[in-house]
Amino acid sequence: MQSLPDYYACLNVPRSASSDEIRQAFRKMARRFHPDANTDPHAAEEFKLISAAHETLTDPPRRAEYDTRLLAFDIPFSIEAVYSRNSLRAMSDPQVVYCLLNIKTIARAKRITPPLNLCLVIDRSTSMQGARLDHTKSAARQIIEGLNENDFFSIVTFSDRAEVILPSQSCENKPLILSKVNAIQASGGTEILEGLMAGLLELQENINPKSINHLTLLTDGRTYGDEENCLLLGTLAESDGIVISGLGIGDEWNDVFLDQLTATTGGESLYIHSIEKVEDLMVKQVRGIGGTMAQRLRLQVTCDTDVKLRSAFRIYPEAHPIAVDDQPLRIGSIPPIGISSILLEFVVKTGNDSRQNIARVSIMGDILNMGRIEEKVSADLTQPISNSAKAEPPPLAILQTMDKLTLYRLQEKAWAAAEGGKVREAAQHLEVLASRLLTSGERDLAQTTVEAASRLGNTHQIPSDAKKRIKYGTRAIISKL
Amino acid sequence: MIICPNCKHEEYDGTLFCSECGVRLWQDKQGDDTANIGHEASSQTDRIGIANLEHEYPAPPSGQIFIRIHGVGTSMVLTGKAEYILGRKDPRTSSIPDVDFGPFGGQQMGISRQHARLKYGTDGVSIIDLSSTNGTLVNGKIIAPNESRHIRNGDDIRLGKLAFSVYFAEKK
Repeated sequence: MQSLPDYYACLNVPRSASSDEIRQAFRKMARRFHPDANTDPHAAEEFKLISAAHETLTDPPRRAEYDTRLLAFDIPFSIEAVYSRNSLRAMSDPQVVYCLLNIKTIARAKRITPPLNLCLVIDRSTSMQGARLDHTKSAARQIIEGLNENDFFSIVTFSDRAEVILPSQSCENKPLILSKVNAIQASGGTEILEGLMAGLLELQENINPKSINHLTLLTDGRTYGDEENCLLLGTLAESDGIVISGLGIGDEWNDVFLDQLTATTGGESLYIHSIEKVEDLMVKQVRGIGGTMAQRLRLQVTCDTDVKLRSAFRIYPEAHPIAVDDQPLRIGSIPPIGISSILLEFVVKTGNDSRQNIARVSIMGDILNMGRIEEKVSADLTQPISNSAKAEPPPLAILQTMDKLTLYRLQEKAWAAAEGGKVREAAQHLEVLASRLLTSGERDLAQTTVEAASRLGNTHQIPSDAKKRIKYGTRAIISKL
Repeated sequence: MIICPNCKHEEYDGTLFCSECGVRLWQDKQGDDTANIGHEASSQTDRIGIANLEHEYPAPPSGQIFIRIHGVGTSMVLTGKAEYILGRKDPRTSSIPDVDFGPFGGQQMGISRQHARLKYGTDGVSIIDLSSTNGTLVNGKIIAPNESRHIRNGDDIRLGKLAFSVYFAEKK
């Protein structure tokens, strides 16, 4: 089925609106989104859409035809917005409003489980020798056991070069596939680019927009000099509809790079801090992909005049920051549970109206459980303006989310300070974080943080193992429901 | 603009947590005088948020005291002194207690400017109510003004309507 924009929602009018009401609504929306009035780079696109809505809905025969199509069309997912305040204050200074967007797939009796097109790209460098590789192979075996016959699967290993251990194929002959896994041996360096390229080529063999096309990269090392090219490959993968996830084992791998690489595709990076957890995390990650309800979600935030999107953070599933300078924002997928949450932080200057429009948000993506691709749903974020200085308490959902997000931001601050040579400041941030973790019941992570603060103070070196534990540990706290 | 009470960092109106030090910034608008919250009110503590009070917290390093305010999980670390005045900052006399509960709605919660003193001595930790307007409670029981009361790791303290837990390493 072709995607159908909801023209009524675009103009913010009821479906029973008269032609006059539609014209009036169009004039109001045109003032909001006309490129002469709104400098947001995506305002023009929005303006085109409302113009089309106006044209269709004010022409009775075309409106009747559109209405028939709209009736037969179900909205694939819903957007719910929770704000940090129930009104903005009338004032000339800028003010902050946080908005928690909950994106929910519509529950339906009939569900389609889309086929998987999966490639495991496994680091087999010398440092993987022994327990690391043994656990990884055991994880791969468990993943294979769980695959369906119509899933496509491939395995690539890499060290200085990449080898296609198992070319992309359906999973009818599992004994053969398992024997390939058992033959993997460790030796050599870590050239991620080689592995990535070979893995993407395997996925291309059986790529299908209605499948889940996914590359899972597992590494314990650092790739040197080819990061830029890896990121470029990530961009290409994204445009082909392939999601890349990364799992890092031990302390040597580059978390900043893996974050960047996976974020370009809307995937996630995970930290495996002890080798006993390899099976657990790898198998869980792949199972999670299999039940994906919606994938390749992109969020377009078109701000109103005098509004700025300051930050975005994915809260659920797998919390991580989202860069806001490159729209549309890649916000990943909706897991089997059917919900994904994004926190947006806006800086707003209020105007003279009694309501302040903040932004129009549009979410685009593939709704796999309904077998529909390239869907789009929009919603308007607005707040009333009040003259009263009395503030209502923020909703609990926002307070809890922000409280947990503050933990993550404290450690970001600490590492940034440490990298800038401000060791004392960094250690202080870590100490504050430790006491807050302690009172949140995160005893182990608090202990790690206290130790990291004193190691940093003594050696003036960032303890890289503790850094990863704290970074991924505080992320995990955010996405705990 | 909001000024963070902890680190003086400036934030836009509506910011919930300080971007610099992580302290919670949201609070009720408040006046100046200690509100008399009455007896009925003081027997009830407002608890919002995620505080898991049954959870046993580990003791901090010897010499440090952790205070966790019931509510949205804000906590403080007290270190370096043997005695701490708990209260709220008075903008007129500019007397500043060691622990200022003003940013946590102290005025509205009925906390006096000099409400109580927390003492970390060789014989453990004790609390003394400094003739406060609304009294001090230890584990729900009111203590007499100017009486010194020993407290144990994890005890619940209430100043007026504001409740918090205290954690420290108990001497064996």
